[in-house]
Amino acid sequence: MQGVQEQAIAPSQLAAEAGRTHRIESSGRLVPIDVGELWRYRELARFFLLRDIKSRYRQTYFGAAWAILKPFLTIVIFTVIFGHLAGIQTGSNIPYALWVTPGVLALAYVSSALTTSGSSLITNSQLISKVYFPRVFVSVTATLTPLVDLLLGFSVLFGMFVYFHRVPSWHVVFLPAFLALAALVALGFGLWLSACTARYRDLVFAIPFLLQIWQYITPVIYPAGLIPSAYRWLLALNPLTAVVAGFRWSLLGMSFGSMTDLFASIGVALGVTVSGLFIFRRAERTMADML
Amino acid sequence: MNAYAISTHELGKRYRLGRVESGFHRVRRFALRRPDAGHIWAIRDITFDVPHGSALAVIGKNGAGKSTLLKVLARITEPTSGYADVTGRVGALLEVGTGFSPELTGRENVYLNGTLLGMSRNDVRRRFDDIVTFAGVEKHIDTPVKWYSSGMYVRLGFAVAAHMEPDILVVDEVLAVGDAEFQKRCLGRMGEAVGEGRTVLLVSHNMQAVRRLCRDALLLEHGRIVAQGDVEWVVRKFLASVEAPELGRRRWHAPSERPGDELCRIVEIRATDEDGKPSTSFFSSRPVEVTIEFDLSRTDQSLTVGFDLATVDGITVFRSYQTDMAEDEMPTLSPGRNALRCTVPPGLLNSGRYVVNLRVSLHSVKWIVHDDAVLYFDVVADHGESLFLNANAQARPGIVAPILGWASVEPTSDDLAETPTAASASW
Repeated sequence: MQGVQEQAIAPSQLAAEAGRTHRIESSGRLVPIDVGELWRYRELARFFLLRDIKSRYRQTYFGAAWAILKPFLTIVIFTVIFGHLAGIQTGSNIPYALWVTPGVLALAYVSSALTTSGSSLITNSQLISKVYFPRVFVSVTATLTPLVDLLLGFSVLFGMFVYFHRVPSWHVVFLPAFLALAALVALGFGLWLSACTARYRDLVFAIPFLLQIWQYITPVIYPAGLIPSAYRWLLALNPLTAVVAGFRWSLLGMSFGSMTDLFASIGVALGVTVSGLFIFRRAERTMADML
Repeated sequence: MNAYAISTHELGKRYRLGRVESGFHRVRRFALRRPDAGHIWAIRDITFDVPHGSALAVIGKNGAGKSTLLKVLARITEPTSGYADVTGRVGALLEVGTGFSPELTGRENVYLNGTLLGMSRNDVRRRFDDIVTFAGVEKHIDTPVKWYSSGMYVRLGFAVAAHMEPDILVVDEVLAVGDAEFQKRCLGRMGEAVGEGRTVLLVSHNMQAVRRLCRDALLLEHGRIVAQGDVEWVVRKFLASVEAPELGRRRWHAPSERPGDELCRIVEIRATDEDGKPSTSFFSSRPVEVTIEFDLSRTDQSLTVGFDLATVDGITVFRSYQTDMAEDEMPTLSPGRNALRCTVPPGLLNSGRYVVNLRVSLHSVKWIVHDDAVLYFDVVADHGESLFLNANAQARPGIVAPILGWASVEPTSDDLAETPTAASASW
């Protein structure tokens, strides 16, 4: 009987699941993400990404223009207020406007990723309550989608280089590594946020505020050197410090600071992501009941 | 290898009340009936087996735990206790067009929807043409679905679902969407699935569908199995167990219990005699008046309010909506509380028990209420003035026993009757 059963099944990856008994039961409190399952559903991630990117840019009138205008205006305002009026010294011969740009772009990406990822479960609640799929994809795609904004934002940076008659340093080959670090930070915190917002919706309103604070405690508009060295280790705990420093180092060729700080930041980012995966997995079990 | 496609053992799902604002919603119904110190078991001690290739129906009143059971089996949420062993790939269909994204084209949505339902890209590609033909949207396949009519949208959604080939198909109320033609296709497709040797688990309010598709059924009440076995027997038990709590009148007191959506919420339905007195037994010589009271948040031209009258065997006698009337005679509805009365004429129903199935919809767009057996009443056929009918204690054969017009007419002459063309022309 079972043999007949199996022949009727479509010859595909799904056949692997056919005939196998799966037990549905209450899983333990701390279970890791099922990597094999993520792989089986990988197509879904692709279509989520397609969906998110398309709806992001089809809906707004300015679409892509907005992704360029926003960082540009931010940079103009920062340059006028902090560069000229407050007279913050960058500690190098690089003009403030150019100096501030990599940090602004990095921060804009992370905050955009965190905002969408934080509310991603609520946005997709209709789906989550009607069909099973690894919910983590919702968070992951929310983290990846704003990368398109970031790529468009790089055109501002390009404009800056042209305007100031400068060229990026050769370190630029390492930029993808720091992009990955930025995405990791966004993913880690995004997982935590989305797992929590599924249960406590009010948190959605707190996200913009938290992001604003984060921006000020990250050396974006001021150089890290401005912080007294006794408290410098605190900066290293903020994984965005390394992201911003990395962006500056790879694009402008500025000194990076200590390697220990970099590893500390990577460690924190990894820690947040791994714990985020566990927390998310735990929330995933009954997410549909909450939304 | 497991002998059963689905085998559950003391499956239970407990919801916590309060704390979380939504989700709560569905649970509150239970809470009012039997509070459990902040917890409520939506389903409990559910043990059953479904052999490979058979079809099982899950029936029960609203809030009996049918949807929860389905959600657990579809892995949408985890059970609290017990377990279910599922052998083979599960395709759960709890909604048509799940995850359709308005900005994506029909083609992209077919792929997105297909992968969501567990198909691989190759599976979808292989069946793509069939899906599009089935849905009849060939011309618009590269148009964003936000420009689709609701009919096209639902057809495409169903087409994708109809072409997934899981070992175990888990279906909820999907039948309750769309028009009669669409429902027929849904049923047909599920019948095929059974014929192909797939295992089907169907949750439905539609007793006719249940009886046609499934040989076995499971009756849930307050989250527990109260009957299990042959579908005819279980359906009969279900319909007989439906009680009109207030003698021919059913009122949903708590606003959260009222069936409906944000547009329309049913408050009460009652069966009364001409004097407006609710009752559960009527003589067929007197009219039965069915009154539906409901709250509207706004008026909608396409809102149809009505009911199906069915026998306890689940056979629909008729369906009636307020929109059946000619436009100038149609009752007007206004925002706020409304009451509509439908008169079932005397001399129509047969002796026996009838069940009222509430039906509220946005015409051919979606069902707002599709609840079976909200009310029942018994009819004793007294057939007014007919001595013959009344003398016979037994009910007439047939679902209805209408008193039709009979008259003595002029017989046709023999030569005319011999030429069939002339006879049909005169008729």
